[in-house]
Amino acid sequence: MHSIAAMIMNHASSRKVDYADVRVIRRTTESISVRNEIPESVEVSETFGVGVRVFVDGRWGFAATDDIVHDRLDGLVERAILGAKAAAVAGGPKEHFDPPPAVTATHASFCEVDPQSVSLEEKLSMLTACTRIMGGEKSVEQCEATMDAWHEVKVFYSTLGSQIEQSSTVCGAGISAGALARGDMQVRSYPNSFRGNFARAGYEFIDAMRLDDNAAQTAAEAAALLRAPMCPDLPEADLIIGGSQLALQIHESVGHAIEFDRILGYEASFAGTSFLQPSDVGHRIYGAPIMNVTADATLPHGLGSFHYDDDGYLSVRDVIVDSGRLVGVLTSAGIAHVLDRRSNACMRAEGWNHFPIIRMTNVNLEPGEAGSLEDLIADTSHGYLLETNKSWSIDDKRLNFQFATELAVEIRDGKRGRLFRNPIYSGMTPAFWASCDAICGPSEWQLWGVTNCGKGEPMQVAQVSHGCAPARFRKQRLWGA
Amino acid sequence: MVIARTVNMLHAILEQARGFDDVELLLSKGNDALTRFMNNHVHQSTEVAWRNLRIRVLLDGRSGVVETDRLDQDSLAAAIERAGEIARAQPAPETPAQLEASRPMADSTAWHETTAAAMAFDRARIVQQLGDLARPKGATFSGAISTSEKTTCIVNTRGTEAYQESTQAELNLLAQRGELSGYSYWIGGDISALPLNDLADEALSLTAAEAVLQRLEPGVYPVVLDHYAAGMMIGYLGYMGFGAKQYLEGRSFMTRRMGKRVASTRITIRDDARNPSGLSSMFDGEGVVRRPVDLIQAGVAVGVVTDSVSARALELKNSGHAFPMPNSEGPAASHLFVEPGKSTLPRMIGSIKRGIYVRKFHYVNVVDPMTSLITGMTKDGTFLIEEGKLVRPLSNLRFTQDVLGALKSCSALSSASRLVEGVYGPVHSPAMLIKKFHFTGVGEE
Ligand SMILES: [Zn+2]
Repeated sequence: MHSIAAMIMNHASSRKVDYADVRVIRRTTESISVRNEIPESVEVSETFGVGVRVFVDGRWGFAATDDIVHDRLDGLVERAILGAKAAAVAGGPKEHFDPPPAVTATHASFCEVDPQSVSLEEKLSMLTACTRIMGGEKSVEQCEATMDAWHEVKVFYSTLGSQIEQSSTVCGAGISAGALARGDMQVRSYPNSFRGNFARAGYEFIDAMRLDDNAAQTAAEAAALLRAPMCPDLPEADLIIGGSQLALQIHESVGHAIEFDRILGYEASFAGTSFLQPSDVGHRIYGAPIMNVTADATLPHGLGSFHYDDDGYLSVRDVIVDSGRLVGVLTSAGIAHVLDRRSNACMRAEGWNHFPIIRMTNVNLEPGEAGSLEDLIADTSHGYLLETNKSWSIDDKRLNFQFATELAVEIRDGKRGRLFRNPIYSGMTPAFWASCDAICGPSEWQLWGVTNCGKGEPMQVAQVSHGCAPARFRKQRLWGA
Repeated sequence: MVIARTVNMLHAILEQARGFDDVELLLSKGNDALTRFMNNHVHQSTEVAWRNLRIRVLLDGRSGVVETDRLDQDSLAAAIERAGEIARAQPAPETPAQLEASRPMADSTAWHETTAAAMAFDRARIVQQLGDLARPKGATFSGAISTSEKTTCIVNTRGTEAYQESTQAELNLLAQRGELSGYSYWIGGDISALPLNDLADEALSLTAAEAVLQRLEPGVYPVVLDHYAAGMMIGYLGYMGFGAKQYLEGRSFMTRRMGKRVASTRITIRDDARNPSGLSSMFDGEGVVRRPVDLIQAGVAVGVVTDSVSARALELKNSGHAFPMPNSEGPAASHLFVEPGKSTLPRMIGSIKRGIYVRKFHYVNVVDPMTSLITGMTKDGTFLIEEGKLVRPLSNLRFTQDVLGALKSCSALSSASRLVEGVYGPVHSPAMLIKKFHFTGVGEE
């Protein structure tokens, strides 16, 4: 891989380019889905390709291929240069690039048990057992258990002289029980919906989930939801939002809004823009004074963690919201200069075949002082605990959001009460974060992986994590549908 | 010939993979190029050559699948061996997997030299032309224009041989002027058919008003959904319930409604992959010939699309809607056509005393597939209609609406129909007049 990268950098250096970098990436994935004790699909895939990015007179060009026969790679740099030269045809302002310091580095993510060292038979038998246990619950008809693992080696070289090799392993798994009756379907998932939870870790992460031990309870909750009444319609309900749902709330109403390329309009035609303006950075009140948000690519197990970004900048932990005030955004070597700042290393491409764009790192809500979830419930006279995402949507400026969760539990006089099905809550980003009056403490804080974040044209899917602990939001609109 | 070379290469790999009951190979390869622009200037220009070989081996009814883009002999041998290991690791299934035997005709009209030969300079010149059209109006264009070519070839040990070359061009266009924005979109096989001026006008027309955005209270309004919004809504309907797998598992709104009235009698929806008005596709992920399927006929739920597995379970003829097998998604209606009506956009708008015009939906998601409930925002063109006229632009609105409910109150469709963005693929849709549409929030205060 290094020899391919070095050869392409030689090609690039011999041409008239102001800057070039290359990423050579090999990625293997394994994805297993078991439904009702039947292995529905076991997919193993491998891809090995190379993408080169050139900067010529203020314009970017990019070319990539997975047909790695060395003599054909010669044309790759030429194609990228043609792209950059073509970009000049339409005129307009030139792009900017702040070069990072050259580095030579090798880094591997933390992985205790290689997922490939666990046999497929063992994985299938564990997942099948989970669906068997869930299927034992009356009215639970659709039982799903899934597991995913992938491994990536990425070699990055640039004409500045950087030579970086990074390798990482990601694992994830989850179960879900679907209870059906009378044209209604209620799904309960563990530890999260949409294929479970994910981390940059080895198989030990999946083992620690104890999916089989949680299968019976998950199925029982699905069945209970089928019998539960519809969530009431309340214009002003106090909500305690559980960790995995709050992670997605952070993702949609903080993470995307603080992407500086969105703020500047680069994503206007696809993913959208942001309600924030460049001048808001350092000034705007984002939420309640107890709200502290970091963007931290250095956390050991985050999906948004890495050592160097695809501009070649060293990863950082940056403060985004400090005591409720917006102080930072997610930037790159291309646009950080607009704020008179250095890049905080957020450039990532989906693979060898994609042009890097600004992606979230791990955007986290730092823990508060409300103790455990049980402490927070005990502190709530009347409210609703909302758990596990079912559906999400937010407008292109990241203001008007609407989330549905798998369940709502009523809290009365500090105690858990009735269960409700089909809860939906909706609101506006600034008012929502301003209403946050309690965040649970470090004991409840954990990372939640989001694996389906879409952005860019052609669309790129990124994986990020969000660390958070359950939190309370006063007077929010809650309803059932 | 390229066809013969590709097919022969796959037959050689079939030879290499002896020792299994059956083998299926699916090779896709292509070149994707895209030029992305913002405020009339290009900021991203990319070209990607890619390929993917999907190797599926069958042993005692069990499937083992490996996908790879490494096609050298050693890598192929390793991939075939791994596929065998995956098959052997699985328990014997109750219903053994089977391969289809199919020899679909290739569609000779799906490949266009104009598109395949388009260069980064050609795409950039289109951006330049767009800029020239926007500047006199004080507006800017952002978006992306892509050109791609693709080859798909499927062979298996049961005699299936399917081969298709195709090209695709796509323009996603956003006009902006102050706080107003307008959207238009085109997709087709032949870039020389791109109606650039019409698309530019269509997007710019919504940015011409001299007015500030008005905030409208959420509620139930009559709504005119332009092709783009209507097609996206139908795309989500298909995503939630037109596949036989969801139907069989009781997870589709179709499950309890087959044969029943689910929409206005004006609504007829079918999947028709070979219709040349769409992006035609002759065969599915198993190499099976795609057949047209009636889904909703004059408001009555009449069918779902199948693949080999679900067709067997339902005792229906396989309609050719498979993703590569095996998969957990099940078959998908990826070429939806909504039958047009007799009205026009101006006539529909003209018939409304007070209501809303919507160009496009954004960030739609399923809330409940059993009731066809979805939510999303309006985007790039939301206008208040009063006394039959678009009177002023509105802040984007959130809707939460069951699609079948909307289709029940559909009182007119346009005679013109367009190929617009959907979910599994583009949807050919007319504009729609919906009498009752539920808006549940507003985008900006
Ligand atoms: Zn996202």
